[in-house]
Formats: sequence, C-alpha cells, structure tokens
Amino acid sequence: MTQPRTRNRTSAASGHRKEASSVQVDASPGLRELLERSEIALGESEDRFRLMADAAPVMIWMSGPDKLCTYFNRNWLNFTGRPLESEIGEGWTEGVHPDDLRQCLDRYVAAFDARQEFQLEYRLRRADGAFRWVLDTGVCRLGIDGTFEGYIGSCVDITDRKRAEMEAHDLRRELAHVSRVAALGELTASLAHEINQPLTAILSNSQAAQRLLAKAPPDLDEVREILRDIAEDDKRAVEVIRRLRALLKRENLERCRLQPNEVVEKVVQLVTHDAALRQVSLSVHLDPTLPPVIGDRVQLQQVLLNLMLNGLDAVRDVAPQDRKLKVRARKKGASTVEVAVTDSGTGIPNDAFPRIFEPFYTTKPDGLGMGLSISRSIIEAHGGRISAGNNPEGGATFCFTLPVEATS
Amino acid sequence: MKDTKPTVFLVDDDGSVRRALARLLKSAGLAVKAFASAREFLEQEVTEKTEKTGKGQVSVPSVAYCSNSFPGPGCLVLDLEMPGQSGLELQHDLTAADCRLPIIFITGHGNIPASVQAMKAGAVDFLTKPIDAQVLLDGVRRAVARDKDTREHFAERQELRDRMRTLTHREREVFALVVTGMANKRVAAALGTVEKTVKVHRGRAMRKMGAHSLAELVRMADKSTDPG
Repeated sequence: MTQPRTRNRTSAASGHRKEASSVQVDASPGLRELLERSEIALGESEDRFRLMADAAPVMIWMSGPDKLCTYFNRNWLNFTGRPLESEIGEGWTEGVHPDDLRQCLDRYVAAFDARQEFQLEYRLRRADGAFRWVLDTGVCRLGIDGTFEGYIGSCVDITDRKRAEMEAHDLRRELAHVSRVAALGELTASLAHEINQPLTAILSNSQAAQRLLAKAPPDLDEVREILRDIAEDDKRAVEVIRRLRALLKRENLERCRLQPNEVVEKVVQLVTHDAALRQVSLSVHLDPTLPPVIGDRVQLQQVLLNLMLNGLDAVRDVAPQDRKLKVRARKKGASTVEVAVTDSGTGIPNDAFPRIFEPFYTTKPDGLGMGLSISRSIIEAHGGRISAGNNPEGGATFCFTLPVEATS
Repeated sequence: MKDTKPTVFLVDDDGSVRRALARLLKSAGLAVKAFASAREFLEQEVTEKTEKTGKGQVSVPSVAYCSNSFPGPGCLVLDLEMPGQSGLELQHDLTAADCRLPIIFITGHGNIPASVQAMKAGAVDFLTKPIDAQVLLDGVRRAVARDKDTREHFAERQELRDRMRTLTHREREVFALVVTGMANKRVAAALGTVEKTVKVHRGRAMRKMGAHSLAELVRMADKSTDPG
C-alpha cells in the first residue's frame, strides 16, 4: 500500500489512518483504484486540514482509537510551550491541573468508550506556568467506511468567562445569604409580635385576677373566665412556636431511595467553583459499593452543602497550600452510611463544642447560627446522627450518619 | 356635679388582649369601652359634623367629647399597629378634629420612631406589651388627670365666653380697652364719650363678668382668649 503524498505528516497520525484503510485490501481492482484515488484525495485533504488547523484560532487535537493523542495543532503547542513529542500519547495530561485531572480523564474515557461527543472544562498549564480554564469539545472521527478512528477536538480558553461566572456565582451566593438574613429578620419580628400578643393577654388577665381576688367578695365567675382565657392564650403561643418549628424543617419529607455517592457528587459539583476560587484543594473519597439510603435528596444536599461551605470558611485563615477540604462517604457497620467533611482549618474552639448545634449559636462574625442546628434537625429526622470533632492533625471533621435502606 | 367614673376607650384589634386589658382596667374602677378597630371607635363614638369648606362636603370627625355628649373625664388606650387605620393615623385624625382626649399608645414592638412621632403629637405615654398592670394604671391615671384639667380649663373659658356674650356692644368696647390698662379718661376719649359714662359701662361689665377687681377682669380677658 502506497503512502499518500503528504508533507509534515506525523507518523502517529498516519499510523491510525493506515490501520483504518487496511481493512479494504481485498477489494476488487476497480474498487482498489478508486480507493487509491480517494486515498490521495484524502492525503491532500489531510494536508489542507493541517494548514487549516494550524491557522485556526483554537487549539486542536486528535486521538486514535486507542485513546492516545496523535496530533496537536500549532496553537496548542504554542499555548503549552511544549514540543509535539511531549504532548502526544498521554503527555498532554502533564499540563492538566492535578485537581481536574481525574475528572477530566474519567469523562474523556467514558465518552470515548461510549463513542459520544463530549465537553470538558479543566485547567491547563500555559507556557508561562499559569493555569487557564479551557473548554474542550471532542467528537468521534469516522473513516470513509464508518470505522471509528478516534476523536478530534478543539479547546478554547474560557478563563475570563469562567471568572465572570464565578463572580456571578459568588454574588448569587451573597444575595441568597442576604435575602435569607432579611427573611429571617422579618420572620423573627412577626413571630415576636405573634407570641407577644398572647403573653400580653396572659399578664393582664392574671394581674386582673389578682385584683379581683383581693376584693370582698371576689367575683369568682370572672376569675374562672380569666383562667380559661389564660389557658387559651398559652395554647396560642405554643401554636406560634410550633409553626416556627415547621417552617425551619419542612413537615413532609420527600423520602426516596438515594445513592449517598450521588448526593455527595452533586454537592461537590456545587462547591467546586467556590473551592477553586478560594484556592482550597478539594478531595472526594467515595465507596462505589455504598448501599442506598432513604431520604429527602434536597435536604441531605443542604446539610452536606452547609458542612462543606463551613469547611471552606474554616480554612480561610490558613496558607493557600494548606487549605484542604476532604469529603468521604463510607460504610460504618452493616446498617449505616457515614459522610464526613474534614477541613484543615483552625478547628473548633473547646468552649464552642457544647453549643455548636444550638440554634443562633455561631463562631462566625457574620454567621446566623442556624446552619448546624437546621442540619441536625434534618439528620435526626432521617434517623441519623450528626457530630463534630477536631482532628489530631488539625482542623475539624463534621460527620453525619444515615441508616441504610432496610432490606425487607 | 357628682364625680363620674373615668372612662377608658380601648382600641386593640386582638380580641384576647382587648378582653384582658378591659378586665384589668375595670378591676381598677374604670369604665371601659372597647373597640376592635379605629373605624369602630370613630363610628360609635365620634359624631360627624359637616363643615363646608370652599366647594363643600368635607366631613370632620368630632369625638363625642368635643360635642360635649361625653362628659369625661377619660382617655384613649390605643394599639399602635392595627390592620386598617393605624393608631398613629387615628391620633392624627383626632388632633385634626380638635379632639383632645389624651392617648396612651400600646405596642408589641419597641418601635422608637413611632414612639417619638406619637409623643410629639401629644401622646401621654407609650407602653410596650406585655404591659405591667401598675404601669398601665399609672399611665391611665395621669391621662385622666390631664383630661380633667383640660376640661376644667375649657369649661372655665366657655363660662367666661358665655358671660361675655351678655355684655352690650358698648360694654364690650369699654371692657376691651380697660383691660389693656388704659385710664377711664383716655378710654372715654378713644370712644368719643365722657369719663362718667365709661365708669358706668365698666361697672356693669365687671358685675356681669363677676369680677371683683380690675386685676381679676384682666385675668378673665386673658383666659377667654387663651387657645389652650
């Protein structure tokens, strides 16, 4: 089989193409001629492709059916500042940010095996050493006969967009917090008024009764009515407090079967932005064999989100290279799943321990003191327990347990 | 005039609070009239007198007290925050209608701006719920005392004005000049008459007014024109 006339052809790129066309060797002479012509045309079109690829304002790569990369355009090489020889095969992964690598490879491999188009976002080291966010889009390459030849993809630098997104995300979070504070403030004011009314009636009624009883003869019928009213007003105050409790924890849990790993992954996704922005290295340890639990997805996510955001806050004052947040889900005994969030922060002050899950208790200057207390009521409503402790190596660990789905 | 029981007008939208406060006030020997809203109070206790202003219509509420059908003394215990017309709005309307029933505000919130506004507009007291009986009753006692003073002052002024109405035109002219400290001779000159006639008119005016000295007559003149 003749090598098509090409310039600047990389051996790797030609290698896989040859492999794809070698399937055709038994074709009839007429067909063979046709094929050879199309080979030449293909070679020419590949040359044209390379010219175009190098001129394109994006980074372009190609991989073979063995997942190994066989080609990077000039833009890519200029971006990373490395020669082609260093990038091909798996070399390019050396430039991917270590925190993004696992996710990046997992999704690449998964899409590859499923022959699906994919889009990835990860940080890639630029020639000057700075990590830039890139959006990588890959599609299947099929030969003229429909054979799978690998992938071709393009990358664009989306760091600026990403930063704007993160800022927007931060702003949203801040707004959400502010509105939560405002809502709670209003709620407190209106509840205070509603509890104050029956208390006012109770005080005035009991003082009126005292005055009535001091008279001779006392109007006992009136006193009896007063006592009945006092009991009614007491119930009214209790009802307000019950409503407050119902507000803080939704009365009806939406219970369904949940994979603990999925809950964790979802929350990790939400927190990844924040962690990167705050230069916290985030690690996730999941056990693929975890049994399902029964619970309210949103509430459990809220609890974990709360613990992880607390963790991010906790490492704020340590040096960036020491800011670590670890979330781990594992089996604990036969009937319990434990999710633990470990931070490398300053730990929990000793005097805070007894009160840390109490409502309105906070160690943060701008904290509401509601997060952990709500988390505890949610976990307990799920039949689990939540606890906190300091790590021997520094920092704190918050963990909660959930009973696994009963196998009946 | 026999000593009537002071009446407390109580306006609070919370039925339970209203009943409890009414009991407490009654136990202290006060008459209580309770209302669930500013509107209810206005409808039942305030007589509407229509005043034609310019192009007509405007009806100005005037509390029974002002039209003398409530003999007093009394006061208004008024909840600050109510649905519909608020306590402050009712206070404003009553002031506009020249109703001087003293007001004690009661509130569930320690609302400082509202309390300042209420006190500036003449409230006697501003009490935060729950209210201790002694504090409320002391407040009511003070308010009732103020109402009594106001009423006596009003009654005295009314009496003087009534007496003044019995004076003839000429007597009133003489009266007006004499109380400025003008001598009889100069009054006579000012009115174009003789000193002797002035003396006669002055004597009649003093008799009709019930004044025993010129000094007393001057005080009466002051009081009858006093707006307060």
